[in-house]
Parts: sequence; C-alpha cells; structure tokens
Amino acid sequence: MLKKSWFASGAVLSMLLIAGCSGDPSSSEASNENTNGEGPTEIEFYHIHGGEAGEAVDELVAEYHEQQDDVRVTPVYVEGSYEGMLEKLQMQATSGELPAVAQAGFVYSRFMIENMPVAPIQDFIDEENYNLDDYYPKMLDLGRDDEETIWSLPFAVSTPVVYYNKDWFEEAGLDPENPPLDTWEDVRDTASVLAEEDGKYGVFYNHTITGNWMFQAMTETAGGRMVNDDATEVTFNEEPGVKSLQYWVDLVNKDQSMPNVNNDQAVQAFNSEELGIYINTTASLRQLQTNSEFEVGTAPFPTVDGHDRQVPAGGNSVYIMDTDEAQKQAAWDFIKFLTNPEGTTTFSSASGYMAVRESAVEQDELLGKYLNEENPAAKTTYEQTDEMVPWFNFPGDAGTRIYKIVQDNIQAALTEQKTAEEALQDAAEEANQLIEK
Amino acid sequence: MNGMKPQKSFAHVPTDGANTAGGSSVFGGQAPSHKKWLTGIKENIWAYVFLAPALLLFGIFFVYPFVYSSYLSFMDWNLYNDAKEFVGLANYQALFGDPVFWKAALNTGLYVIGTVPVSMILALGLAILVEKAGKLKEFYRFLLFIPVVASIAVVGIIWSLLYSPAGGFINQMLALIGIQGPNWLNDPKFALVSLMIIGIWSAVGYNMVLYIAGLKGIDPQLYEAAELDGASGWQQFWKITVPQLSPVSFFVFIISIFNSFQVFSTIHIMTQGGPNNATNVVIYQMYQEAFQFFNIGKASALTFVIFCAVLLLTVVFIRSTQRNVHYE
Repeated sequence: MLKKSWFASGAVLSMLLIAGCSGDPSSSEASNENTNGEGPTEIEFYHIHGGEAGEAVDELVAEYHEQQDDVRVTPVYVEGSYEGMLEKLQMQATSGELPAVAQAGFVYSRFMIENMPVAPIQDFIDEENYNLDDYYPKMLDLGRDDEETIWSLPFAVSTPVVYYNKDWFEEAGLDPENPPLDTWEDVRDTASVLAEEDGKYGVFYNHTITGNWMFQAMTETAGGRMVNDDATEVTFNEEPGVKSLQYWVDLVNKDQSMPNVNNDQAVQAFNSEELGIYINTTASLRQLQTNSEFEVGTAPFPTVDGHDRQVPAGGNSVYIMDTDEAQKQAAWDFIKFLTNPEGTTTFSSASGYMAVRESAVEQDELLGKYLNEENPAAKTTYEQTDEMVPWFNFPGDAGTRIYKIVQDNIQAALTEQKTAEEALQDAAEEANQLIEK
Repeated sequence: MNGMKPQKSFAHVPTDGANTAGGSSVFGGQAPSHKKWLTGIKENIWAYVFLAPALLLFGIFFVYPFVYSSYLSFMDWNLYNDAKEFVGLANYQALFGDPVFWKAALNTGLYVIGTVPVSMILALGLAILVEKAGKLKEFYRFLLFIPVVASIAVVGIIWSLLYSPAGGFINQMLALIGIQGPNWLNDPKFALVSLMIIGIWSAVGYNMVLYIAGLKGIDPQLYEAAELDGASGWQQFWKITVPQLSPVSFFVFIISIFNSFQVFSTIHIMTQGGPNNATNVVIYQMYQEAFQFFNIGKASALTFVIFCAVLLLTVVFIRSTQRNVHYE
C-alpha cells in the first residue's frame, strides 16, 4: 500500500509540477495518530470558506474548544471551492492521509458517497439514537441516498436570491420595498429601466456557478428537469431549458441589460453601482453588504408562467471520512457541534448561508432577532425553504465533464456562436453519450 | 552574469576532471576492457559523488514521474480507485479525437507566438532605456520587475476587473477617446489576446533584467571603436548590441517559450478556459482531465504529448543556435 501511494503521489506531483501550481504545504501533515485516551484526540476539518465565512469557521472551532477538552480541531482551508476540495480529498486519499471531517458541495454528494472513503453518519446517528427532528427535513434529505441512509449532515445551505440596489431603485422611481422582481418578465423590464443610462447594466444571473446551478434553477422553475426520471437521458434541452437560456441570451444580446462577464466582474460592477440587480446564492449576502455603500435588498428567485419556484439547494454538508475509530468518534462529536442550533447560528450570521436548524431561526436569541430586525435581507432565502430541490448530480463519474459541456454551450449561446436551441442540443448529445457509458 | 553562457559552462562540469582518462566521460563512453572501465570509475569517483545529489533529484523529480506518467497513459484510472486497467492506445485515440485538444493546442501555439517575440522586443527596448535613465534607473527597474513577483492570484483578479466591460478601467479609458472597448475576457475573439497581454506584462520585467545584465557585459571599447569609425547609434545597435546579446537572447527566448507554453494560473483564475474553450490551452486541459474529470489516463497521454512537443522544440532550438548564437 505504501508503495502504491508513493507511485500515485509521484504521478500527481509530476502533473502538478507541469501545471505549475503548487499544493498547499500547510496541510500536508495529517494528524492521524490514534490517541488512546492520552490527551485530546486531534482531528482536521477541511473546509472551503475563505474571508468572513472562514473567520466564522475559526470562531466555531474556538467555541468548540471552550466547551470540551477531549477533541482538538485544526481547521484547514482548501482553496478552489468544491472542485478544489474534491481534488484535495482525492490526493489525500491516494496518500492515505485523510482528514477526519471534510466538507463537500451538494453538487458532489453522489460522488462523495460512491467514490470517496466516507463513513456514513447514519451509523453514528443510530448508535446513540440522535434526534434529527430539529433539522430542516429538506436539508437533511440532501445527505440521504436512495436507500434513505444519511451520509452527511447539512452544514451551510443556500438558495439563489435576487440582490438589488435599493438606493438606485428609489432614484429610478422603482419601489425599493416592493421591487418589481417577481417574474422573469418583471426582472427583464426592471433591468431595461436600470440599463437606460449609458454604461450601466440592469441584471446579472450568475450562470458561472459550478454544477450548472443557476441553469438548473431556471430550467426547473420553468417547469423542466435536468434528466428524465430514471436518469438515462438528459432533458435540459427541452422547451423549459431552451426558454431559460434564450432568456439570458436576450438579456445579453437583445436588451443588452445583462453584461456577459465573469463573477468577479459582476460583483465589482454591483458594488460600484454599475449593475443594479445581481442574482446569486444567498451565501454572498454578508460580503455584498460589507463591500457596498448602498442598501442591499433581497428578493426571492423570480418565477415564470405561473410555474412553482424550484430552487436547487446550494452549499455543502459535512462528512466523516473513513479513518480510525477514535478519529471518527471525535469527528462525529465535532459535527454535532457544528450543526447544533448555536453552531449553525454562528456560521449563518457571519456568511449569509442558511441555518440548518429550525429552532435556530425561531429563537430570538439565536437567529430570530437577527433575521427579523437586524438584517431582514438575510431572511429571504428562508421564504424559499419549501421550494428547495436537490442540486442535480449526474450519475457516474462523468458529472463534472457534463457540467463543463453545458457551461461551454451556455457561453457559446451568450456569445452568439450558437443559438440557444443549438447549444443545448449539442450539449445534450454529448452528455447523453457520457451517461450511456 | 555567468548565465550568459549556460551551455558552455554546464557542459564543462562533468568532463573537467576526466581528461586524464583519454577523454572518457563519467558515463564510461570508451570502455574497451572491463578493467579500464573500472579504472575509469575510480578516477571519476569524485565526479559521481558530487553529481549524486543532482542525479538523485533528477531521478525523483523527473525520470520517475516521467516514466510513471507514461505508464499511466496506457491505463484507465480515475485516481481515487485502486484499479487500473490497461487500455492500450485508447487514451491517445480519445485525446486526438477530442476537438477540445486541437483547440487547446492551437491556442497554446497562438499564445506562444503572440507573447514571446513581443515580450522579448519590449524587454530589450526597456532594458536599453532603463540603463540610460540615470538617477531613476533603480526606480524603473524596480517598477518593471513588480509584475514578476506579484501574486498571480491577485494579479488575475485585478486584471479581471480592469478588463470588465461593466465599469472596468480599460474600457472607461477607451471610452474617453471615443472607442467602445471589447468585452475582453468574455468575447471569444478577444479572450486569448487579453491573456496574452497579461502574459507579456508579467514576462517583460524578468526578460528585461536578463537583458540589462547582458548589456553590462558588452565591452564598451566596441562602442568607442564604432564611434571613431563614425557608426550611427542605429548601426551600433544592429552591429554591436544585437549580436553581442545573442546568447542572452537565446536564453530569454527558450525561457519565454517554455513559460508561455505552460501558461496556467491566469487561465485558471480568470476564464477557466472559456468562453467555450476560447482560452483553453494544453496545460489547462491536462489539469481539467486529471483533477476535474478524473481521467488520469487521458491526462497522462496529454502530458506525454506535451513532453514530446517540448523535446522537439528544444532539439530544434539547440541545433539552430549552433549557427546563430555567437559566444565569445
């Protein structure tokens, strides 16, 4: 085994050398020693949160350390979001140095369960009859497989919401408290009003989020699905999908009210009041509020043609990796803390992600007062809890490739290399070939 | 700067101590009999001792990964699973049948052609100007070197914002003189060019420093003699500066080619190869195949192809220098 991992890490190393990107040296020494009751058990927690959310993670760990002396947690920030995490976990797995707790995006739930050395949390729940009633049922479902086994517990959940510049709305004669942003048509009209001024843009849908997240939100809200019921064929190229993409293409090319930019550029434009409406995950809330000098309003994800809103659950859950028993028990204890009402409150109020416990949202001393009085913009996402659907995971290990194919074709349509219909047709053909394999 | 003659000095290291053995190299090139071969080893034992660390590192970091990834290029393997399956040339077939590969290869070529000559010419020009800047010499040198040491992650985001069509600095400046700037990063026609500009910007400082060193190495008597003969500044530049700098130019050329061949970070941060693969290059594709699509076999096949391309380029360049580069 040692030999094998040497070989593998050599291959990985050679590719990294060629790619010219270096791994993160700070996290190379995994603390996998079995401590057998001598002193605290040391575990690592791999997470993807930088910035303010990252500070909240450190805060959580400090709170946890204050409460007990048996477990000591080292939080390790893994760069590159959910893809970076997968990459990192795979390398740690090949070299046999897994952390005890790892976070993974809901977009890769299936991948984690099927391909990574994960210990199902269900075992730990059953062992002590842990009460799950307080977790939002829809969020808990995100960690379940088809056989109802829970593999992970939700940590930071999000839905797409509409951010808008309240001050600008007021100036433009739009009601900032009841903004005309309910339907796709509303958004389109409002965006055109905002974009009238030279050099200004109305709206940006962040279609660049990994896993075709925004495209799924649009397509399913328009009454469509990403794949058919038995997941043998994609269906995003049917009418609702085409309608969604066509809508973006029209915003970009016909109305010219949506800039065709990357997300960094969109955030910058929103903060500097070049862009009036920004549609993205609720997780961006605190950052947008901190970096802008105007009042940021939020509104629920827009609907179309009277269809029900369908918002894919973004965000991530926490897994216990399959390490030794002491590590796993310590990991379970830490995860219970992370997702208890106090833990989830700390993280949620620092980031904009949703709390995973109903009681946290209801109690004034936890999030209740914060959401109702201090920062009502953070409340919008909770209005969509019942309309939350799973972030679609393609079967097999072709998922990441399919996401890229869809994303490439969305870009091709937005830059008018293809029509919306052609683009999705091409994407569907390629995707179906990969699914069949 | 001794790096001016990288070939010469390097080639002399192993043979210097071996002249007594009738020119036999450390690798025992001439070995008519076993005994003589042994004597060769004994005589050169110190050469081996001194070479050992380098050879060891070379083995660990180059030979072994190269051999192993060549092996992987014939396997179907997804990195997280122990099972590898021999698939013959299937990975190479998949690679050559993949339009993204050809797109990436073309983009890589365009990127190299677009960045290397410009960054060299600019660097030489700046080196000459900076050397003539008098008191501000150090300041300019410092200023122009900043891009080389700046964190690429920060650089990527800053350029991304500069290039933005929605309130980005560059287009706002262009608008002042009545030009409507393009959507630099998100228009397939401009995306690669935008990245080339960053590539040039970040390479110029480094190349300039090499050229400055080269300029300092030119014997001033040559210019004095030319002056006496009545040569103009332009003539001096072409007849003295350029030929005298040819070893430096060759070095800069090689370094620049390989650096731009390996462009990765700016793409990873700014475009992820998009829009629709307009900025995908071979190294980025290799990264995606390996770490995003978990197709280690195909990524290794691509690695091998890249290796062969680089090897071929190197051989061609080294051959051509024998004619065109003048060492003193």
